[in-house]
Amino acid sequence: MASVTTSISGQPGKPKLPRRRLMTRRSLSRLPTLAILTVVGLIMLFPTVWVLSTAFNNNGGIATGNILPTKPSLYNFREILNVVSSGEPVLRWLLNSIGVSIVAAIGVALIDSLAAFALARLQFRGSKVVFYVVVSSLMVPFIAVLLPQYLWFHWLGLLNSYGALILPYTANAFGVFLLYQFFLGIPRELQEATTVDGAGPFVMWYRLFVPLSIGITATLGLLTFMNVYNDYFWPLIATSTPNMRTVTVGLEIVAIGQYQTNFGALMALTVISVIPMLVVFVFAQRRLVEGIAMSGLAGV
Amino acid sequence: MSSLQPSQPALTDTGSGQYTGRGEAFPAKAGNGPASPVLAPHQAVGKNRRKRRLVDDLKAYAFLAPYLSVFILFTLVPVGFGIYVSLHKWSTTLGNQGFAGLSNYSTLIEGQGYYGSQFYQAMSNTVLFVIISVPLLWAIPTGLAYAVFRSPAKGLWRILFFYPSVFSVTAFGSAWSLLLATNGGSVNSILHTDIHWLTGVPMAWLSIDLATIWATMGFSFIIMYAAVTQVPRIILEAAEIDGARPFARFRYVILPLLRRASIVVIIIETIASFNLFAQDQIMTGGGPGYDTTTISMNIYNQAFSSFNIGGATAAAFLLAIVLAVIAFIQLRVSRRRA
Amino acid sequence: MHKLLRALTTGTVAATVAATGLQGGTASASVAQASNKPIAITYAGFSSMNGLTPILNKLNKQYAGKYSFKSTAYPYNNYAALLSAAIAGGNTPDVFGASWTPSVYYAREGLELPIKPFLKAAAINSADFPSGMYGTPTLVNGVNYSIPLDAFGTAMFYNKALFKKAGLNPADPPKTGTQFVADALAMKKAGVKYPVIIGADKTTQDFLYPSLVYQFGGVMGDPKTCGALFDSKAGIAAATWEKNLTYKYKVAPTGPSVGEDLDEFGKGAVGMVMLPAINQGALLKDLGANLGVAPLPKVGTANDEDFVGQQYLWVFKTTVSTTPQGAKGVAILLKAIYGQELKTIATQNGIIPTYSPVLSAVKTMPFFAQQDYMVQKGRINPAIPNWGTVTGVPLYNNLDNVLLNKTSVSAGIHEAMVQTNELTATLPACSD
Repeated sequence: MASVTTSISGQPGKPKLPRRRLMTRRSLSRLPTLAILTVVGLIMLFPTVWVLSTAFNNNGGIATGNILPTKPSLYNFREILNVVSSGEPVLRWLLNSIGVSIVAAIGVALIDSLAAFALARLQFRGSKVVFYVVVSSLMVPFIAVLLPQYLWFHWLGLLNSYGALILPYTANAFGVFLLYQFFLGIPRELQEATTVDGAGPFVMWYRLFVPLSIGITATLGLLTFMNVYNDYFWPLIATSTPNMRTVTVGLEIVAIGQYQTNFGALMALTVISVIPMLVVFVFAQRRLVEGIAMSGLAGV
Repeated sequence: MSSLQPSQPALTDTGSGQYTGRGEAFPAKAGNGPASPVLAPHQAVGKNRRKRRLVDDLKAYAFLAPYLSVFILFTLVPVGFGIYVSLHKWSTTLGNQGFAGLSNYSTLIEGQGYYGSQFYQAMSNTVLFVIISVPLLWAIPTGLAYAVFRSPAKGLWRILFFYPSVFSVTAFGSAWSLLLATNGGSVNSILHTDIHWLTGVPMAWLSIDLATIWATMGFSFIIMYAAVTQVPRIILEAAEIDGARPFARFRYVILPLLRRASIVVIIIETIASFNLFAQDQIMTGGGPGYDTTTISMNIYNQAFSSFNIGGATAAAFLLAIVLAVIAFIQLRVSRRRA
Repeated sequence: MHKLLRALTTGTVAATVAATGLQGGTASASVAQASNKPIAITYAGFSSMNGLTPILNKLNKQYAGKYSFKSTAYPYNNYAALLSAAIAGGNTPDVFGASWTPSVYYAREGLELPIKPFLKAAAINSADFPSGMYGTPTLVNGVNYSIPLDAFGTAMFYNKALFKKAGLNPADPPKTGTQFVADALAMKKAGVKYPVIIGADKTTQDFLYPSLVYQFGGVMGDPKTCGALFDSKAGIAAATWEKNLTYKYKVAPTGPSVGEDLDEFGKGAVGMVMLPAINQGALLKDLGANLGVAPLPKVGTANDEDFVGQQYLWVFKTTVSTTPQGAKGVAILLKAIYGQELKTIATQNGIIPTYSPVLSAVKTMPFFAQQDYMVQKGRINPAIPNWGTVTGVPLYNNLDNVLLNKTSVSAGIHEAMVQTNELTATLPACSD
């Protein structure tokens, strides 16, 4: 904060520039920024152009490093249809992915909101222990729990079910941490007003904290959705029948063989599979930014 | 822009120094644990007080119950079971072959056998990647966030910088490895170069980094962007009137205000970088030689190719310890700077 | 206590699942022993078995009520994780089809059943397999556990248009190492961008390096001791020849990335590549009449055998396959696979079946003669658990360093053998 204070108060007497001059200077100073953004933006688009060109190219599945398709066609998409007609339930994979991700996202948002509220706003014995155990669980590498998790689900008799595809994601320590940060930022005056009304903690959570945190909670939901949708290893080992696969696993089954990768089919199915997420994101991105902006995480 | 300025009183700076809307930063909290009791039993005394406290505990745990039950069932039990496995001679296919004490750990630490002899190299490769990638994974989204904030068509840029997050690792790993191919890749042909993007070090690391940044920076970008929008407008304008150069303004005025968001991003990216696996596997296969073989690959191969899940989980928990130590140091450093 | 806890946790979880209405699929493959329930026979393998579904549908109709046949496609990249998880969870598929050497591991661990009784029940004659692929080379502790399914030799692919450009005869591809280098130099002189690309990655070297080692009269490893033996004169000669293409004759570019030999060849930029003979279909589509396929040139002179990649089938010891009725079901499945399915794989994917009744039925495939020659002359991996698939990692990582000129040939090959032996020693099946 120190440097900020100096720069504000350091030159109190400096006269304000005329508005027009300021505007011109601003637009001029924006040019390098825009140039940088354009360059980076092109780099961001570059691989996607390749993905699209590979998906719409007909070259027998062997990859070209070309940016534009040499033989444009819908061949790869017809290949995917062939895969469907040969019995692989591609549509079911997509629906599985979408359904599982939505349920996990809603579950995480609800469960984590309740937990974060208790940790941030209620006084109880053991709160420190709970908090640290939850946060330190972020440090465990996924690879350490992959097989134990599998054996545990086997023991529970839940493998190859939607339960197996959803439940492991519900224990989302990051979400608790995120919402915890946000709840800490809610001013005490508001809570006290609610407490004076004689409301219990549940009413307070429901009436005050949930509405105030709807943005960040939606953000958490969206991030969870993407996370679950793109996960690979767990759905791979937790499912064993074609109907229970998710699309990320299906992608590998369809496109990656022992000695060859069918890049055309891989990219065609990728294009199909990212559409739901892109739609969600384009509509949600503003909300996402607002959501995090309101959280304590990004606070000044 | 104004729509992004929070309307909730929760987050407005009153300017009086009583900035009530600020959540405590993670590091600042780290020493104090969960904060700000709301339902402090202020009136209760004696026996009543004890009873009241018990009721409060019960209420709090009722809120925590759903999370704690899934946490115990799907995090603690597998982790606990993993630790149990790591203390046994445990074959991936045949199961438990008897108690082994700490021998799985000592084999790795003493560098015995194939996986032991590879352990330090894989670990140092991983640490090297973390050192290269975390600063980039923080600095690039931060710089971009500020640039987008200062330019028109913000929504468009936000979509542009976030959208790669929708790609699965198989898709983006394959895409980048073909774009960066030495002889036929588009990058070399556009630049008219002959760079060994994937078959030489340190280029292979930078390439993996490039793909990782491309695909995963969306989240960090959004966090940093949101943080930039929270910088009070008066500070931005004052800095502008000052005539400070954009970079200096950014470095000395804006950046210090993004400290808390930066810490979150850095810790998340540190954890993610330590877990580097799939894009590395796809892009370089751990090569050239063993140069980009990470500890996760080492663990994965030990578990599923050499069928030694006991040794693999031991390596995984050693990784967790290294990760925890580094995260702890990061927190301490960031707190001292505060 | 265990039961109570289990009931409790399962109850909680099941309640959650039920509440969200998400219970799907069956929890795990339970043994169908009830008299009216069909016995479930499960097959798992790589996704290349894409013709299997209609066959299983047909079988399921034919044996309705008695058997139900199911198949699961395992993505190649992570099949070991998936199979390990299935075995650890008691969910092992009855029949599995994959690269051969993993089967050696499971056989040594006592997880497989001898294959002979199944062959008898399925009326498959073991004499119909190539002698190099079934019999003595595939014995594990004196017993055969697996049968060959299909195979792909190591081929030299060449671009006929680039041959013509260099004034070479496209009908006469090089037959020796010396001719190979001479032709490559001629193409270089004629301005061909990449006369040769030598892939340093595992996919290429899995095939090329052992082929050259055999040609120079060496062996890769000894099944009895699980020991690697390629740090020999032959092993060093093989790597030296590969390395010289880049650094001595300068006909191949340095540092090609993974899969680039195939990709660039498909784009028509490369004169000659040496690769597993598995991509003819795709290459034919890209290059058309310009695609040439030939057996590997004879680089070493000691031997005419090249390495051949192989897919095998084996039967896991499961609660189904160990019962007489279950075993009968497995035999029915095997019979179907060795009939129609192999034909489908061959005609759709252009892969050579290693079962002569089917082989004679698909002789119309392009390049059939060349492929047949490669397979018949081929030598499979030694019967060492996971040889090539896993124990290949140190070899190909170190070979990578050699081909990138980061280390000398002798040092790289020596280091590779030391590490390979360290790695095989970690396999319980080898340290017994």
